[in-house]
Amino acid sequence: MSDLNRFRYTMESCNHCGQCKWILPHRMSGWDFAEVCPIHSHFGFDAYSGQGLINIAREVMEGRLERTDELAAMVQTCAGCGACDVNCKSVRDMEVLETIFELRRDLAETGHLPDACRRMAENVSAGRDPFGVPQAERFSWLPEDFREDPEADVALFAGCSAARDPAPVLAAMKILKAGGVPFRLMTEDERCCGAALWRSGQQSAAEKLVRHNADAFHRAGIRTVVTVCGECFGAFRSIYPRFGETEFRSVHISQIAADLILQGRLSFRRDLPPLTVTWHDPCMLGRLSEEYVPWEGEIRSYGLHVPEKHWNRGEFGVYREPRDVLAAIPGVETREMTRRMEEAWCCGYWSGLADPECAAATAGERVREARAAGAEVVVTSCPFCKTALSGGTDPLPVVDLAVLIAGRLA
Amino acid sequence: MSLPKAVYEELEKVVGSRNISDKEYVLAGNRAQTPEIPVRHRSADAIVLPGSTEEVAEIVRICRRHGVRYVGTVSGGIPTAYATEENTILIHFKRMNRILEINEKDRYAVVEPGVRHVQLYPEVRKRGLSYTAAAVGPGGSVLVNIACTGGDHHNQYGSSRPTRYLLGVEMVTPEGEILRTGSLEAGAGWFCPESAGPSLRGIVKGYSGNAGHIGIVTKCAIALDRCKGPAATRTEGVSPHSRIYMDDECSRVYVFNYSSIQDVGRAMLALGESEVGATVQKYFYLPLSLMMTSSANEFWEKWDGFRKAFPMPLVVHLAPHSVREREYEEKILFDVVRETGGVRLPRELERWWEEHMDYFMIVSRLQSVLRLGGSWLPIKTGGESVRHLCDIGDSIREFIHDFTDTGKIFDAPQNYQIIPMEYGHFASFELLFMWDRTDPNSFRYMQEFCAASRETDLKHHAHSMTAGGYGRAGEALGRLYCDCHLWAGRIRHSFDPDFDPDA
Amino acid sequence: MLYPKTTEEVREMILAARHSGGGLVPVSSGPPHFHGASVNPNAETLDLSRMDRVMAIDRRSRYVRVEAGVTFGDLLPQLAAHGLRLNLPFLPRPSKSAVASALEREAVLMPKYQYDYPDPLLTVETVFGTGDVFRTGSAAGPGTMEENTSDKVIPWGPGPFDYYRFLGAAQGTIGVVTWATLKAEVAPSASRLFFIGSASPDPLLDLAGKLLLDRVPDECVLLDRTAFSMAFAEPGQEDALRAALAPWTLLCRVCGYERYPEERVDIYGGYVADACAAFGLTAETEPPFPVDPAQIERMLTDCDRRDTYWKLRRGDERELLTLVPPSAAPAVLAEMSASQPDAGFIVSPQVQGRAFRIECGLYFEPDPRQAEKAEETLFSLAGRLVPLGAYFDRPYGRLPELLYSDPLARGAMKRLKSIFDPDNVLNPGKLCF
Repeated sequence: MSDLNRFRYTMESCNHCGQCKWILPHRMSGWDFAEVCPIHSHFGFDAYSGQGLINIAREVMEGRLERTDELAAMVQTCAGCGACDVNCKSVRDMEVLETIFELRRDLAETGHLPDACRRMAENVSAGRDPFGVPQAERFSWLPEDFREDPEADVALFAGCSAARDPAPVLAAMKILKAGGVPFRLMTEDERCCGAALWRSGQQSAAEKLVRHNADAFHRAGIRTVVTVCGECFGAFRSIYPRFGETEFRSVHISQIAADLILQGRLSFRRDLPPLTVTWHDPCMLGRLSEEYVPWEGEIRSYGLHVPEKHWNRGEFGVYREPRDVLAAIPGVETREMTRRMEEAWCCGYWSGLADPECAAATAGERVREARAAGAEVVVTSCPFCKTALSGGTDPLPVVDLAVLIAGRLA
Repeated sequence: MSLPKAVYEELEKVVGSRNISDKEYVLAGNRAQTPEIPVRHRSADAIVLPGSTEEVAEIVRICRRHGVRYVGTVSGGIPTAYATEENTILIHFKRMNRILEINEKDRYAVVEPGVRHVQLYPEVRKRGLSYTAAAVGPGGSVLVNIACTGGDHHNQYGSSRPTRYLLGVEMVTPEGEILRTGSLEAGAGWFCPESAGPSLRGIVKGYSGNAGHIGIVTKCAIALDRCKGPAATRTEGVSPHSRIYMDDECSRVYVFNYSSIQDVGRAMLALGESEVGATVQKYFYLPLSLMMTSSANEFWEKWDGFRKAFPMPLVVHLAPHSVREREYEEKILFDVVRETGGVRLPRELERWWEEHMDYFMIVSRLQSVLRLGGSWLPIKTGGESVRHLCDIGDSIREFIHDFTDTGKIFDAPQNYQIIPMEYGHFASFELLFMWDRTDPNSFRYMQEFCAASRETDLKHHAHSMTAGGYGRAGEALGRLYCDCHLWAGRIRHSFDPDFDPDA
Repeated sequence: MLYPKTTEEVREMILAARHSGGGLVPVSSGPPHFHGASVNPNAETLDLSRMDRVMAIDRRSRYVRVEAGVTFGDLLPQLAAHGLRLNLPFLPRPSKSAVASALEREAVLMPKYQYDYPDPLLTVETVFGTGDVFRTGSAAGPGTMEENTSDKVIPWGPGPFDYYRFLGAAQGTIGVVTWATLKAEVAPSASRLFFIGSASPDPLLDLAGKLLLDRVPDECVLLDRTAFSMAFAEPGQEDALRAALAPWTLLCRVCGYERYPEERVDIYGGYVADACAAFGLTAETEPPFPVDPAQIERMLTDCDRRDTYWKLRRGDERELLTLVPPSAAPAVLAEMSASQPDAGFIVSPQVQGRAFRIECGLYFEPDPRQAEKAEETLFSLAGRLVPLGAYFDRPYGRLPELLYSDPLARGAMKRLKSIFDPDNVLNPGKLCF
């Protein structure tokens, strides 16, 4: 059951300093691209921000703000990207994003949830993935001649999105093969990673998926789970440990590729036309991918946490490896966007569950930023980012990192 | 009490339906209790987001017509940013966020209230320019910071406090008129703050700001200075361990420890007379210790060591035009430090400062002072000569131990900052302390500490702060300051006839 | 004529004027009088020249506090004895009140020390038109002047308003200032004066802007050859000097202070030379015209102690004072010099180079008709300068006619006037009152 009271310290500590809304100085570049919170940028009211949402959580906790469907929809406009959290934690010991998630959980558990979120759980209950694809069709894209290594203790986690666009997973398979990495696919037992449900506040529904996948890995003797999707990667790192599921190690395909390049086990064609790209850091691959370490304890006077608490401040996300890989591909030039790494602007995909207009505006802003950086193509490693950034009225081409790598392998 | 529907609709016509709300959850975003104050901020009845000065003027006129109070706000975080009475709306300037002009030739920038430091600073820095701003975070409003509130700049030693840099102003008066001050009022542009004759600049801001009591400032120009230090800085790392390097052989930071504030003062004055250094400051070491640690736990682990290591640090940043000049400045610096008894601290600490000396590194880290639960207060935020402020620093020991030794507040005897300005002609002071908000008596202790501080200053007739307050409300201190509360009340009343100075 | 000697006497005179319905025109400087002290037939002159105490000279905190009647002629030697100097206007007359000069926002010669337009004015004591005595900034309190242990140097406030700004350039219409604290600077131990000539003022304006952005020079002022020769030539040698001068000369002085002064002068002198080279100009220390550089340097740091004040060499003078931002300076100056080719021009960079004060002086033999014509000519010129970006923040004579077009701003000033001088006792008829 949800317990907003666990985040009372955060709620009572907020001074409304505004750090959660604006880019940190080491990334600043000018007037443009200075905001980090998509909903604050879109709606303008302070309620739509990390600060505002923890204020709302406090009023809900204290019984001063009524739980309503409208409130739930408002809370779900936040994509849960965590920029506010990283910014706040650059100077403070507060759990802004955790509080937002707990608020969603509270609202969901009291029956307040946008229909789009509710449908995801209903789909899962009905044997489909959250987006409605039946489990039987989850691997329908798999080539018939695919042969896995049955002895491998590495699983390539395809993710739900492969059913819509298998290219990234197929590319990852090509990279692993080229690099001589034995792997398996969990064609029978793989389910949604659970991130979408967990983030929308439907923790119990998410837990069933988490338990299922972890159990499947355990039974199959999987020690390493390779992900192509940033969302899945972040889920394994930051959600699974909440349920004690820490037996396996998760690795993103960019990390494997970077390692293979370093070892000289991947080589690239040099005859392809040059390409100017920018790397879009998916939130769940970047700042939200730090391993979650549970903490139970007492917060004493002046913020002393007993026992000492491990803080995820967004510092150790997967930022370097995708950039190293892009730098190693002949003909590919990377232009950095202002808001990058821990300060990356979210694609806005998950806002769309509650407010498609906000989601479109958020994605459009990111495309504008990519264009301002001088990129022809946006490279990313999250199917949700790819979908969001490919929409809109004036999109740039968006390419999955694995697809780009595989397409340029010698 | 909610806003009457007719008023809401009138306001909605001005700003559009997207830019007004009276939904409870929207209002909640601007009414939550903050840890400095033991009561909730009062809820506004609605929040409006105007997009232009004309819209602000129209909103003010509607409010005046219907007897609705209003509070202008941008960043929050200060008590004047919230509704304090019933029947109040918030006018939030999120949408008025344009940098209207950066005039390199005439060295000013014109901004609307929604422009944040993190937006303007890099824009002017690209042009080799800089500006002074009080120590708020990167998301602080430039306009509010410089035109509406008090506050001092960490690197103001070679320049001055922000109030010196406020130029032309456009404001909406309480009667809903658009008043322009300085050269602007004569149609001569933004460059000069002073009127031709008795200067209306005087009503915009004094030592402290007037927080919108005379009108809502909707545009202002601020003067720009040369950017001291390297024109471009290299940044590295990921927050919270990001760094801004000062890759410039002209730029160096030195940190010295002193045992007496009077010696620190002598050093400040001697350096100022020689016009050596871009930054000179006696920093408060509690915030410094917080800035140098990554969590409250790490702070508590290292706090004892910090306060023993540098109880009275003098930070000096040299940023001259050439290596030869830096060497010249170093000679003077070391002579002065030798004469005044300073001891240089380890290079490691200096390097930390070099990596954080950029104004924005300081201010974005400074909010670490909120890390110990958020209950904090800066007091004695006044300005005077270096000599006088050193005397005030010395007098703190007369009252602080009653509070720190008993755990009523958290502070340390030498934990205050003195930042000279205008090469030591005068300086600003700040004593920053914290309290444990989980202690039910803490707010009382905080108030008692403030009172003890004030009584000590009055005993010495020390000018540790300016006197605020209008009319009868400011009487307690105002009568000791040439009855300034009466004059302030009269001025406010003349611009806001609804204000009663005798109330 | 009323000659108060104390603040209390000023107060009584104001109260008496309030009671009788009369007017008072405060005057601080001695003759010859120029702008502010014009005679008002409907008012008595409140002459503060007998309030002439130097109240404090503080070397450590670098300030001086003087009564309104203290003149540059008296004050400067006393400051020099303490190793201090003032940020002076260009070659003022010795009888000029130091307080009035700062209150009137006279152009200063060392813009690097000027952070804001009222600088070097710090705190003041004033008697408002109500008869109330008030002190500004940190002089306000706590307590009386004697009790307040501060140095009384912070100019802002008290509280949320800058009262000292109500008094500046107000020509005595708000309050009578009885004393003021002024910022003093350390007197240099070494210096070097550069003469930088040019056929056009434009590159010199840019050069001054660059040097002041980097805060290089102490004194920095641009003179045309008429003003230069009027100011510095020996009597009777004006024309000869004028003929030898470039049309425009920037005087730029770098200084060293108590520690390693020569080294600073060398370094900063190098910056001047480098900047000149970048602008295609030459910085001379030994100018190719008949002046003594050391004498000029002394004159830049003092008032004009010669028998005849330099502006009155031809007997009389009228001047137009304007303030312009750097972007407008070339056009304004071009219009002024084209319109008045025989005038003398003093162009003083201000507030660290963010503005220029331009003084256009017409020098002529004493003749009321000539004076009237000069006034008319300059007023007409002022009208033509407004569209070019000129601002008249010191509105003497008829200039208010060009200002106060904004009824709201004019109304706001009148509100202030009604607070501080409700009976319009002080300098009635001036400005927009």
